[in-house]
Amino acid sequence: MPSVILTVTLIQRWRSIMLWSSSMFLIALMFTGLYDYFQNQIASMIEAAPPPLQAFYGVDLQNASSPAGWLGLELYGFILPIVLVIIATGAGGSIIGDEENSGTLELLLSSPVSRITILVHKTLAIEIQLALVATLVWLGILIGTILFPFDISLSKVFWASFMAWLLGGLMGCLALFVQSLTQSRSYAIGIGAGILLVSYLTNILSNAINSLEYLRYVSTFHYYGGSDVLITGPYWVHILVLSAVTVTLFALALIIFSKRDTGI
Amino acid sequence: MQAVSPLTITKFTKRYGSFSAVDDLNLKLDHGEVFGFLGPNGAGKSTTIRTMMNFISPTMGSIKLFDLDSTLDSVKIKEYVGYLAGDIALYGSMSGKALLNYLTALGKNTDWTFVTELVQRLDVPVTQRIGTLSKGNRQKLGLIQAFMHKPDMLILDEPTSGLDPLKKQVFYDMILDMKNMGKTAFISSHDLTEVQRICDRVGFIRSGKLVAIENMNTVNNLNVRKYAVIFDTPPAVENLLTTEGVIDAKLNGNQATVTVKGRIDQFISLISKYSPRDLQEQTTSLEDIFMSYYETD
Repeated sequence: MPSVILTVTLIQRWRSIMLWSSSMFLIALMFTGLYDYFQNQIASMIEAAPPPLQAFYGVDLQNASSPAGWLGLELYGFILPIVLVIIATGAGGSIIGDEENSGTLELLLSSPVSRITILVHKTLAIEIQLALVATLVWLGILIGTILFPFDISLSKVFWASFMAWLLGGLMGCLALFVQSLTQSRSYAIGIGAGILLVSYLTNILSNAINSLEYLRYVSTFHYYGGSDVLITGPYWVHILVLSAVTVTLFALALIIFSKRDTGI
Repeated sequence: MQAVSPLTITKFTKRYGSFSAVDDLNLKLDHGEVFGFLGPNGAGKSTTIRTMMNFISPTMGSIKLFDLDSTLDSVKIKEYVGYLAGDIALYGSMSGKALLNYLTALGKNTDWTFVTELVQRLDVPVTQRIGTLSKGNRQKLGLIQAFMHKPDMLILDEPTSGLDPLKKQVFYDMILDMKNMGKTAFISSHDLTEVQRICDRVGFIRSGKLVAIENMNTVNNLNVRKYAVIFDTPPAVENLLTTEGVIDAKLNGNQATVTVKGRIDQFISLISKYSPRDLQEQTTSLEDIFMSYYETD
């Protein structure tokens, strides 16, 4: 019954899961509640901002004062993807790394269970945590549409949450891959954080400077595009790119982890 | 299962770059045998054990348990093996009972009646959170998880570390019970008494090489003793080393530490010429015996 690894990993991470899920649910609810108060000020704020700052917000000015534009400004433009990437990078680096550093990985590996099974179930635990946070943000907005004057397409909000989940999953698998390769939790988290920063800045620069527009294609944030998805719906090519990179990184992590020496 | 050797190590070598942690190790165990694996720190004991468990892979050669390859058939092997790591790490947030349930769910064919018996014999508080347990109680829990499925092969690294003398005796009885059931045990230990009490054969590894394998009876008859002698004017080390029976001698100021094998009359005769001020017999570890014995080869 190897699924017990998934269950135990989720139990071990319950504090993190509860903290992030409940916080993000409340933040999402708060954003829907604040919209009515800020809606008239948003467009003028954006118009007054210099072009580089507008690029930073990454929202079409025409939609800036709509509920979708409001969510795209901060919640889906910044907070949710960054939170999911932070959770994913931390978990990806530590989910095997902590067991390896503490020595409990030997306890798992001395049982009749393969390394592939261990990694698959532990990765599933990360994906479930990320999905829970993304879903609760969607749920917070759904409840917000009931409690407050906040009219938005819930299916597009779902797809934006889904894209954030995909982005988190990719970064989690990147951290997992780096940990498998280097056996270092610190490298995994450090490299993950570095790529997050570079990716985010690259996306902003490519939006702000026309001559650097091509750079967006190397930024994971470009493929995430949560702010745009809230307005236009999902881009299937972007879903495909994020999924393909995630699967590739996970497969590499799996191959390396199943072959390498552990706990040195 | 009885037809094949529980452990066959063939030309096993593990290298890290140019450093050989283990070099060309060969070993074969019989069913029902308790084998002691001895050597100083860094000799290659843990590397060998960790390769048996497929935590690391051999650079060359092979390790087979019950004719199953340690690398290719690792998952199947674990069904037959009970393993205790040196300085075992357990999940601090779980209770002992939850840990045993977890390991059972991972595929160990646990005999719960036997577990209850072991818990009573070792006196372990299994309902308590592991993080709050003493080193000794964590070690006992480690032993229970290694024994709980009555494995055909026990691989134990320093199994009595942290146990009090009474519980060490319980462990020796547990090993004897398993031996009577036809189970095999591979035990890494530093404890001379322990190895003498429970092992049928003993192997000594040094600098990655298995330098000796002996029956326990042979080892007990080696008759090696170690003396510390204080002189006013000590003899030269060369004089000590060329004396019949002396197999090792070290000089530190006015004190000589001398290892003698067999008769001691020539050694006593030599030191008496140098007016010894004090002569004391020191504790001889099994490692000392092996080191000294094989340094002369």
